[in-house]
Amino acid sequence: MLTRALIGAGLLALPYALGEYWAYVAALTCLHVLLAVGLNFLLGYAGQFSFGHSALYGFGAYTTGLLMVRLGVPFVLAILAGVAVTVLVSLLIGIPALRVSGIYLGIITVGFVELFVWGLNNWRDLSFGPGGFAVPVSHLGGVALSTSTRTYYLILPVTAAMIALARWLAQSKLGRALVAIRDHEVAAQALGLDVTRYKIIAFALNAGYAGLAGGLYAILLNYVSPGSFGLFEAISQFNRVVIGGIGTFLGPIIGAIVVTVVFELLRGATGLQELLSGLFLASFILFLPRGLAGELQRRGPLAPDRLHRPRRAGAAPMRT
Amino acid sequence: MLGLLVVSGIANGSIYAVVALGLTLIYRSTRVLNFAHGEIFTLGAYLGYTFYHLWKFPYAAAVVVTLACGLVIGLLLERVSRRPLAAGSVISVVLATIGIGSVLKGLARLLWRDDYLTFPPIYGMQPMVLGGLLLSPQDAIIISVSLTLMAVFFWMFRFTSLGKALRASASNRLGALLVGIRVQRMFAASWGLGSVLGMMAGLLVAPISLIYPDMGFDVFVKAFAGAVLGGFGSFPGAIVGGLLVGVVENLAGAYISSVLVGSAPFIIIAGVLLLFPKGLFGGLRET
Repeated sequence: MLTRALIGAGLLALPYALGEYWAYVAALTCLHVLLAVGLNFLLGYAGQFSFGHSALYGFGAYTTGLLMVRLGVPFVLAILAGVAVTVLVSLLIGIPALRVSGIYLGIITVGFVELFVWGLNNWRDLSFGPGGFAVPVSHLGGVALSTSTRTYYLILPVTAAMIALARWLAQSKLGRALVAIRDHEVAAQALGLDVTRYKIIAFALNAGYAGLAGGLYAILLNYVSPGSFGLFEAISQFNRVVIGGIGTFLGPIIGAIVVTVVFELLRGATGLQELLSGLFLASFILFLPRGLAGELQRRGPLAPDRLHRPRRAGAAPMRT
Repeated sequence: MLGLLVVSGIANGSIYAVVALGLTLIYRSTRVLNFAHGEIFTLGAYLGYTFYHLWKFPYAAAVVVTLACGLVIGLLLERVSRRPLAAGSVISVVLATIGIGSVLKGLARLLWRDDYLTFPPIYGMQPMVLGGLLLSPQDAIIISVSLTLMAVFFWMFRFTSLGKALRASASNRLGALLVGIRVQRMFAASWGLGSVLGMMAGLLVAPISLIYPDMGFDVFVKAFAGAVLGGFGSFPGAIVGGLLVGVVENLAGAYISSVLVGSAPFIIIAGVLLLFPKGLFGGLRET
């Protein structure tokens, strides 16, 4: 309890201690935490391999941004609409896509991401094309969210609430069902679990978190463009979850924080970013498959997850 | 016009087919989709450029050295990604190949700068006429080299003892072990040979396309679309599918809309997987 209070106080004081730039990094980190927590439902708990998360993130950002620019919708409504649209899209994609399993799901969703980016680049009348567009500054109760510090104070409590929701969901029947499906699909089916339905729920949860993160992205950066939602983003999200610890509760949160800060320090050096992110991804998979969280749990400082202890090699066996 | 489009489609398609063949070889033997395969292709172009243009090797020597590098890199790739993770899940192996692909791409960006390089022309520029069709020399060479490569590949796979051992390890691992085939070594060999094919495709493309760090992804996706269209896991499927993707994207780009050139492979992948997932040649039966 004391630790949590200290962390909370530290996070609240962060913009004052470190200034506007780090408030921006912290707000961005919160978005990445949301993305990683959402992806963990699909990749970590349900064991499904999909690339769709970066396009879903983009759907959230574009729906929110376009509603604000084109129709002048207030930002809270625009974000909620963004989440709704993203979840709807994930159902449209997920229901046919989750019928195929394993690596094919990965490939269909690679196609989905590329088609999405291609659509944004080409459907200029709606999306403003490859250059992207500026999102107007949002107002909350008379306060203009014109600085990252102010937006951070909106994003931080939302992120905390979504983490609490994820914790509750993961420990509920839903979380246990997803893990059962990941660890042995046939056995889960024999226990009477509706496997496809649970997979679709995991997909929709991934989409809900990504859509929310996307909406918040639009009001944090006040600028949206197609380049931010391609496959590089999808791979970065894999990185955060893997480095933190696939299928652990705290892992994606830790991973998102570490990776975002390291990448921010390497800003502008694309080659180095690719080299290091690839190296991290491969080395963690090979040498620390449980990620930072798993390692901290093994060595003691973190309490083990009660339920979601990943099996060897970090994720679910797909060969049965 | 139509003839021209078809011929240049076949030339592009035979590149996709060679890349798809490598992907299929690796997938058949070890059930892994190697996401670093596109970067292997990129590396083929870069290494060829380095040996031939920068270090002034004779062209034949540059080709041989590049392909040797391909073999070594493929063997290494198998050693550091597939083998240590064989007991775990396929997701882990695929994520590891994604990571390694990203490393290779980052290395290319750092070593050769983030820029477009041009390979000096090798094939000559004078178009020739063949049976009433205008054919550029580079297209002719790409098509004939790819076809030869595929023929050699099929002969090797079908008739040599290496090919038989490869097939045996892929279709029944335990049985192959029992008759004394070194299965691990065969798995490594398929990754090595698959990477040689990827590098070869990169070498073939280099003189007619720009060389840049992101060039591999596009080809990877098109090759994969071809493999899926042909039925993933089938060698004839990979070749026919790859050729078809090349022709279809050319025709759709010319007659429907030029934006379709980029998106045709994704439409093909999604359509085939959702409508007839076995593809044209039935794919690989999972056991």
